[in-house]
Amino acid sequence: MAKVLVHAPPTGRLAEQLGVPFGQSRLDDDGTLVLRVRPAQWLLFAAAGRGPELVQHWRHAAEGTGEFVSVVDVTAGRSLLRLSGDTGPALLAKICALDLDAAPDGSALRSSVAKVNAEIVRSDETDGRRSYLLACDRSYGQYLVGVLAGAGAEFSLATTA
Amino acid sequence: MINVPRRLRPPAPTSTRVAVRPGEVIDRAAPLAFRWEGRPYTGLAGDTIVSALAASGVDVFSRSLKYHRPRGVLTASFHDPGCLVQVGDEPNVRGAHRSLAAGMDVRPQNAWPSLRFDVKAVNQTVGRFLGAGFYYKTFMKPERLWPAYEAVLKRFAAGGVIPDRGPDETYDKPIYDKRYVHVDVMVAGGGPAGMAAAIAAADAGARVMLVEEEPELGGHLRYAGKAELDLLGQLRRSVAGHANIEVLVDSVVAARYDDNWMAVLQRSHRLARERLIKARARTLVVTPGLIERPYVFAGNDIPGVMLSTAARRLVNLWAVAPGERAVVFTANADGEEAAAVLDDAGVDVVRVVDARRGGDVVRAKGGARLEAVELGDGSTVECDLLVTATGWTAPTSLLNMAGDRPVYDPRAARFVPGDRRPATVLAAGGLAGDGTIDELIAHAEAVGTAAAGRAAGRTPTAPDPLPRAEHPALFRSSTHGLVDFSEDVSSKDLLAAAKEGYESVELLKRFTTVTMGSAQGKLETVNAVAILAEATGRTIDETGTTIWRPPYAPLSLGALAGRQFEPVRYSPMHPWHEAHGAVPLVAGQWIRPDNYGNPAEEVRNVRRAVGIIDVTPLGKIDLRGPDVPKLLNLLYVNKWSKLAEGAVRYGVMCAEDGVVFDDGVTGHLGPDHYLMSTTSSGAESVLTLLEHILATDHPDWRIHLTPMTGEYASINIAGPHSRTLLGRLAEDVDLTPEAFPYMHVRTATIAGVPNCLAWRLGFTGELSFEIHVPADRGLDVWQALLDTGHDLGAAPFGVEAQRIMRLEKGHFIVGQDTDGLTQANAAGLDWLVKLDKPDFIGLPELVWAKERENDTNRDRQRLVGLQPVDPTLVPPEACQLVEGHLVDSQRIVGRITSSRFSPTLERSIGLGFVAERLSAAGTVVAVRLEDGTLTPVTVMAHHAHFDPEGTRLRG
Repeated sequence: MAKVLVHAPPTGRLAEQLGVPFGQSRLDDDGTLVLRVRPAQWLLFAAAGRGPELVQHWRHAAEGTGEFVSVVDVTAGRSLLRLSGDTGPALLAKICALDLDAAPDGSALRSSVAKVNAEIVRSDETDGRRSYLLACDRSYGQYLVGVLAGAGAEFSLATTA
Repeated sequence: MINVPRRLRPPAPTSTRVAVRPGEVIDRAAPLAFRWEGRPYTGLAGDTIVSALAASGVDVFSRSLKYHRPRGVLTASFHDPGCLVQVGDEPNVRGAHRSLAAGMDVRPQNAWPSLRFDVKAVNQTVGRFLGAGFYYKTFMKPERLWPAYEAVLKRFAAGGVIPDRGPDETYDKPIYDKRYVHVDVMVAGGGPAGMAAAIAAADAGARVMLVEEEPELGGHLRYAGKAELDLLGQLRRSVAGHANIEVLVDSVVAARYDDNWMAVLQRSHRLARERLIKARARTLVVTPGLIERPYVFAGNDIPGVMLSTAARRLVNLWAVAPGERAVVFTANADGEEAAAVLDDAGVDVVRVVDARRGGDVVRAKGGARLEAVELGDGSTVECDLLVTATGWTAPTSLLNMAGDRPVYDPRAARFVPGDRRPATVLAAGGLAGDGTIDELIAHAEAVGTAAAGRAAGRTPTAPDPLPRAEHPALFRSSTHGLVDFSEDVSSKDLLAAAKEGYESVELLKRFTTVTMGSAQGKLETVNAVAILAEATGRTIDETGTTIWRPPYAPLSLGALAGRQFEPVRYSPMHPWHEAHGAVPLVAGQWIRPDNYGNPAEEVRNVRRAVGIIDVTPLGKIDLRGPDVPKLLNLLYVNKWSKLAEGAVRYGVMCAEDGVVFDDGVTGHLGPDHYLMSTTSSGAESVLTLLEHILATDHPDWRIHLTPMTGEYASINIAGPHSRTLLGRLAEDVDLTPEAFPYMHVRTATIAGVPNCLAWRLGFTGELSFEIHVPADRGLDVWQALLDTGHDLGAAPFGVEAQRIMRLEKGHFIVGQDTDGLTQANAAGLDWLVKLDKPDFIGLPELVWAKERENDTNRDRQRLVGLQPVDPTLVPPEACQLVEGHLVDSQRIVGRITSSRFSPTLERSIGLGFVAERLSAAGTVVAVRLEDGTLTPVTVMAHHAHFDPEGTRLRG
């Protein structure tokens, strides 16, 4: 998937256009998932290959606002995992200190997951099943998969490509 | 005088199981075979280790810590100090708590060669010389003999044994796990009050965790009568039917910290031996009940003397008759209940001695088993069981951890909770007061409702406090006996200590170790305080009590360590390295290729042809914004205002004390756009520092930071043919020296991959290009470089070859060639440090250091190049440098920081710190090798041993 990071003032015009409150995410009609994991940072996940287009779009959107904005393509630098199933919160509770039961669908959080900085997005399946997206620096991806597999043994975790 | 047993009886051969009890937890159809002291035994599913042994007639389970007296059941619970046993490899298992399992190999502790004949029991005969403080007083002097003392005393150390497995890693290690929990209400204690509070809180909509130390919910209802068992069934069904309540049994809330951050130990999890739960609860309800306390009299530790709760538990939970002829000494209804239970189970209750009517127990007689009891009226009664019910201890531990201080209630003869705890910590059940079971449950329900309300942010009124019932103040008889059964501390010890001036309860505790054993004061605190009060003529209230600190119950080191998270990072080229036989190197969190079999040949290949190395771990931070030069000027010791687009500059960062913190290069990629590289190990620290500066010191600076370490796969192409090799794959870039000079950066398409960066750098001292490739294409480009450069001799090289070459070139490594005291000037960076800059981190310290340069009293050290006079000798790193090389000088003047054999120069080379007065080129100092011999080394003119002019890298 394409991943683009947008830095912009937390209350400016671009923030309005991005339109997601801090700590939450939004799935757009075109399939772009916009998450705001820091007050002045938005992370965009979109279909593979759309990175340059998104960079262009948001740089263009920033022009004329007079705001200090940076748009960086981080597609190659982030590993992205999806954890689906009702026992997902119980599994994550073994490796992450956040209270995920208090995070409704759409929540976008940033925390330590097994000592790795990661974004955690609750993005439930269309049938209502619990689902989380985990994003971390690419170099930690293999490690995080291993940790999830170990912690998930008691929940019969299955891995799919 | 403590009665000393001389002989110990062998275990009784017959079973002591009684007829079916209504609340028994054993499964009579499920026998479990196990071993005790190497001999076969059989218990039942539902038994604890101790109940199974007691059912087989065993009444001695361990030897005491100090005097090695035989010990039997006292409490028949987790806290029973005489029931610690070794189970297989696991020491100090609470035998009166741990469920029996088939095949267990159970052995006694503190006894050698056997439980029945323990040679260390000689301590009983010399006990008069082993009073409190014996070790402190005896083994302090002479200090030089301590190693000898220690060797002997170690043999007398109490506790079980952890097998020394040496390097054997094949055994089945137990798993310890961790988990985080967030709940509205944590209920610590799963007795009737805890269950009632949990149900009420859950009814009010709260998420509740209910934690019970025993293997089942129920508390004292489990071993009570039929009516209580019916009530227990109702409560259990209500709990089980509540989706909002998570129940943990065989678990304990071990500690409470600020804001109800708690450590919960879950034992016997199905996948782990123990699991440490870190829990945050909005409110905490503490419902541990009350703990029955022993009575102090001569012989009170003889097997067969036990608490009334222990007798009731043995009979009603495990259908074990704790004796045949019983005397019951009681001051309350629980003692009467114990007498009734024993009678109902067929035990001959020969005498009930009521303290409320002036009765007393003066002395217990017997050896390995009680034989008779001497009463206060002068009579002696033959019996093998003495049950005492003389009062209670309120385990206020979790309340103490919330700031509360217990106060003594003389009417109830126990310490009770004070009133200094936060509104988010509540108490119910016996801890909070007394009443009928209905009253206690009604109170607990009100507390549970209030807890849920407070968790929801409301401030409901706390329920009215429970009253406390009157209870006789019974602590010690007219004789002396043990107060602390875990530590073998007697009432005589306490009185003697008080006479020596240990009149503060805190000092008394530390001097005598009373309350410091495995029971941690739960059984002995009140008696200890009462006896100290008696000794000093003060009231118990005036004497005060020790304060319980975390943990409430012991945690194993395994539980504290728990599931280990040790992040590991891999570059996109890692699979290639593995497939091609790279020797892995753990470099911080990264796994890197140390070498591919022959690092010296890898060096020679780079020097004569071209090599490539995976340098992905280099820290990379994208910096954007008009104020980036200000940030760079603040960070680095050199100047950055005039770095042209396309140019790259080396910089060193210092901490506020002028000590070298990190180094690297930063390139000016475009308008208001820079990319900083840091050392691999420093990447996180540098990013944290940058974010700190921008968040706190200069929030007005318009700068955006994006960590890019994982975004790029980084490859250094080094060697005389590096330009040719890169030229075959690079598009959109002119690689000629004129168009792309040393210390510059360009964007390029490499091997068909757009948006790559190419830097001209020279860590190896060779003409080299460092390329950053989008990480998802890193492996493709790596392979393309090797395929395309085959005729040029392109081959991979690892970290070891790189380290050799950087040493040949004299480049230092932060953290290896510097330490926590190395200021920039000492590292030979005077040429880089610009003291005329308005500001940078570390400037004042470095200015001060400059001002002191001529201070001859300071023996400053300076980093220099070193070459052993013997070119074949490679001194180990960290060897000392000493002054002079012809005599064995004791004066240390420096140390070797880096040392290698140079394949290029075919001699040994190094870097090291040496006293500045000895840092002139040509000075000879000596290295003291590991075997103590000295060998001369020469201080060189440059750090660089190879191409000091830099001709090759600028080519």
